[in-house]
Amino acid sequence: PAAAAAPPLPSDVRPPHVLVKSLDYIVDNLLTSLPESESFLWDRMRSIRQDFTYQNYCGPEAVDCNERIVRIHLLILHVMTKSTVEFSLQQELEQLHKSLITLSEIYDDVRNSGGTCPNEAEFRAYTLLSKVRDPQYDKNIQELPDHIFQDDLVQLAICFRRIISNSNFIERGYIRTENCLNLYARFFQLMKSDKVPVLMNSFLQMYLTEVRFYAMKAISPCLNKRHKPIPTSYFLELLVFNDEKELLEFCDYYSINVVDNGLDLRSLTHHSHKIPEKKPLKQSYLDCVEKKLNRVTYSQLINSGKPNIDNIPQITSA
Amino acid sequence: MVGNYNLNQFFRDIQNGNYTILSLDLQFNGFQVASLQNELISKSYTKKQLEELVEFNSGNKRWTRFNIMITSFLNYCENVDPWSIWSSCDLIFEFYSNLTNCLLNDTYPIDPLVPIFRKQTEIVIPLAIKLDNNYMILGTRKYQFLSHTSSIISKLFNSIKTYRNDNSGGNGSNDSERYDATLPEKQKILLYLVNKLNNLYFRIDSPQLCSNIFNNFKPKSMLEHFKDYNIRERIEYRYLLGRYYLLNARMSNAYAQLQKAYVMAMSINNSLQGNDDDNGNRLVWKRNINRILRYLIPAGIVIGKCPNFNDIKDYPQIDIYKKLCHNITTGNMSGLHGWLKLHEKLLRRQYVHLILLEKLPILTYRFLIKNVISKFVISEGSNKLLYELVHRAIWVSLNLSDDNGSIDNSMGKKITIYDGIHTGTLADTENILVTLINLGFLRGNCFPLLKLCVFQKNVPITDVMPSVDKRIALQFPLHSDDSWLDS
Amino acid sequence: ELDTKPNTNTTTTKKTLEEDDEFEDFPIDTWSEKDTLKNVDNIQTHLWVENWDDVEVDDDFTNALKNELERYKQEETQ
Repeated sequence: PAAAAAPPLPSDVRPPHVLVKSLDYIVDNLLTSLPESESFLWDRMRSIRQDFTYQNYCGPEAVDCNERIVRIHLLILHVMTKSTVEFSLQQELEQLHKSLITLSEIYDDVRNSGGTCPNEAEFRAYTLLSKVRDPQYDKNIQELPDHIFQDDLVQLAICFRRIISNSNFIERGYIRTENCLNLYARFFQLMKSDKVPVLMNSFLQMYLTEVRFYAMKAISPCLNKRHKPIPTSYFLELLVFNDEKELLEFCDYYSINVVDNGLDLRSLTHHSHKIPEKKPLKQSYLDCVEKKLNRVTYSQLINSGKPNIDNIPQITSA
Repeated sequence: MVGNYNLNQFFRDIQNGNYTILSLDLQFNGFQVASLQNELISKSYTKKQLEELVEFNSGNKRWTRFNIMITSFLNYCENVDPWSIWSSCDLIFEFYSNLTNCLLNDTYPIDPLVPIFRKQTEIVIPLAIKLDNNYMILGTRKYQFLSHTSSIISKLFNSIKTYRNDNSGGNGSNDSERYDATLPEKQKILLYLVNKLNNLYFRIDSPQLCSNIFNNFKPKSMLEHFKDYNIRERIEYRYLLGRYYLLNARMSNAYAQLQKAYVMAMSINNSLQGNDDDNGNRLVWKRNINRILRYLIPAGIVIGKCPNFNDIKDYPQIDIYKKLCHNITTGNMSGLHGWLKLHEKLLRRQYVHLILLEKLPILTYRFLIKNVISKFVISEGSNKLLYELVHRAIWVSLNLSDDNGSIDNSMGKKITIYDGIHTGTLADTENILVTLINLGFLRGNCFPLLKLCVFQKNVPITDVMPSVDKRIALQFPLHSDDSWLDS
Repeated sequence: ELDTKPNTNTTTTKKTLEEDDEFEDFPIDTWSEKDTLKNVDNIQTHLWVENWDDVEVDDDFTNALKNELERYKQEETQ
C-alpha cells in the first residue's frame, strides 16, 4: 500500500541469507495456518521480494526465495478457493505474476552469463500458464534451449495452452485467431491425471469457469433447435463439477434454464464468461485436485525444488 | 586532396553545405579523418576551445544542435582508433546520436542532413550487430548496442509530422511529382525508417514493439497512397507486417500481407529475368522471395490453402511442406505429429512450431472427417454420422491401438506435446465435432445422448463441409487499418 | 577497416545467409520501377491450388483408415 514511501534505510534491509531464513520460517510454521494466515503471508512474501529488489540482488538466494514464493502463491490459490475466508484474488495473482517475471529475468541473465538454474523449467511452465492467451509467451519458450522446451512440465503447459485456445473467446485486448481447439473435454481429463502436478492444477483451476462456459457456448449452436434439455449428468461428467449444486449455481449465474433436471443451452445468451454488471462467479476447484493435495505436506510441496546454490555463477549486472 | 585536408577546409565544406565529409565510413573519408586527427592532436584543444572554434566557424548561421553535432564529429576525428570498434564506439554513437538530434526540429534547414543520416545508419547498424555479437566478451548486455541504435532511430521517427504544403496549390497535382518535388526529406525516408526500426525490433527479440510503428506509419505519412512509396520498401513493409501477424497467430492477416509481398516480389523477379547483367541481383532477390515463402507457406496452409508445389520448385523447403500437406489432406494426425517432431528445430527457429501445433490439427480432423463422410456416409445414402465411426477414424489417425490405453494413467510414460493434446476418447470425438461446427467447417447437429451427428440429407459433401479458406475468410475479416496499404 | 577488439570467436551460432530473416538490400536503380509497377496488378502467380478439396491423395494411411471403417461397418451389421 505504501507506494510513495521512501526506500528503507540500508540497515533495515535484510541480507540474502536472512531472507532465506525468513522464508524457511514461513514454510515450516505458517503454511499450516492457511487459509487464515493468507494476508499475513502475502505481506511477508512481498517484503522478502522487496528486500531483494532494494539491494539489487539476484543471486541464488533470490532465485530460491522467488521460486518458493511462486509455489506458495500457487498453493494459496487452491486453499483460498476452497475456503470461505475473504481474500483478494487479484492481489494474489499480481504478486504471483511479478515473482514469475523476476524469475524469468534472472534465468535469462544467468543463461547469458553461461550458467543454468536447476528449477528453471518448472517456472517457465508456470509462466506459460500465467498468460495463457498471449502469443508472446509461445515465442519466448520456442527460443529457450532444448532441455527447457522438452521438460515434462513445459510440454504439459504447452499442451494446456493449445487445449484452452478458443476461436470464440472475446475479451478486451484479445484478438480472436483461427482454428483454435477449445478441447474442453481433454482439459478435464488432464486435470484429473496424475501426470499433472498439484501446483499446476491449482494454477489451471483459475480457468475452470471460462473453460466450462465456452464448452457450453460451443455445444449450444451444435444442437438441433428442437433438441430436448440435456441431463445434468452429462455436464457433471464432461465438465467435472464437484456436485449438482455447483452445476446449478453455474447455470443460475449464466441464466441457463434448467428444465426437468436438464440444461436448455439455448438460453445461454452471454457472449463472454465475464458478465460486466455482475460480481464474478466464485472461483471453483476440483475435488480430484484436493485429493492430490492431501497426499503431501505443504512444506514438502514448497521445498520440492533442487538446491540453487553452486549452480549459478555470480551475477554482477542488475 | 590526399593527406592535405585540414580544419579550415572542413569548416569551409560545412559552411558551403557540403556535408559529405560527415561520415563514419573510413573507407570513404579515412585520409581526411587521419589529417584532421593529426591536426587536432597537435593543436590539443580543450573541449571548450573546440566548441568555441566550431561556433566561431559556423558564422551565426547554424543552430546549437548543429554545432554540437559538428563538435562531436571533430571529437570523433581526433580520437577514433581505426583498428578498434570497441574503443571507438562511444565516439561513433555520440556523433550518430547528435546527428539525429539535429533532425528532430523541422524549423531548421535539416533537409541536406537527412541523406547523411541515412548513410550513417547503414554504417552504424552493422557495427552495432558486430558489437552485440561479442557481448559476452565485452561484458555488455545482449542487445545493448542495437537497442541503443533503435532508440535513436525511433526518436527521429517520432519527430516526423505531417503538414499541408501550401505550395501544392491543391490542384490535384500528380502524386509522383509530389513525391519528388515538395516532400520534406524526412518524409522521403519515412518508410525506410519504419522498416529499419521493425527489423531492429525483430533482431533484438522485441517484435511486440513493432505494433507502435505499424500503427503510427499511416498517420505520419504525407503521401496519399501507399503505392507512392518505393516498391522494395513496400515489399519489405508487408513482409515485416506479415511476420508480425504470424507471431501473433493472426493467420489470415499474415497470409494477406505475405501473399501481397510475394506477388510484388515476383514482379520484380520477372522484370529481372531478361537481364543477364543482373545475376547478382537476381540471387539476392531469389533469397528475399524465399524469405517471404518461409512464412507465407505455413500461413497459407493454416487458413486452408494448399501450395501448388509445381510453381515453387526451387524453394528449398518444398519437400517438407509437400509432406505436411499430404498428412493434412489424408487426415493423418500421427503423420502431422511426426512431421512437427521431425522439423521441430527448424520450425522453432522460425517461431511457427507452436502455432502449427495449435492450428493444424483442426484442419487435419476436418479432412479426416470429410473423407469419412464422403466415403462411408454419403456414399451409402445416409446423413447420420455416428460418433463411434468418427471415433474409430480418429484412432486410426492418431495411430492408437487397443493396448496403448490412455497416456494419462500409463506408468512411466511422459506426456509430450505430441500425445498430450489429442487422445481419441469418445468425449474428445464429440468435442472435435463441436469445434468443427463452431468454426463453420462442418454443417450439422450434434445429439450428445444419441452419440450422433446429423447433417442435411441428399446434398453434396461441399454443402456439409464447405472449403476451409472461404469459411475462414468469412469468420476472420482482415484488419481494416491495413486497407490503406492497397491504395 | 574497423575491426572488433577483443576479436575472439563468438559463442553465438550464426544463421547462414539462406536462413537469415532480414531482407537483403536491392539496388533499385537497375530497373525501371514504373514498368514493374504496372505489372504488379496483372501478374499471375499460381502459388496455391484452386481448391484444396480437389487434391487427391492415397497412401498406406488411407488404406488403413478404409480397412478399419469397413471392419466397423461389418461389426455393426452382424
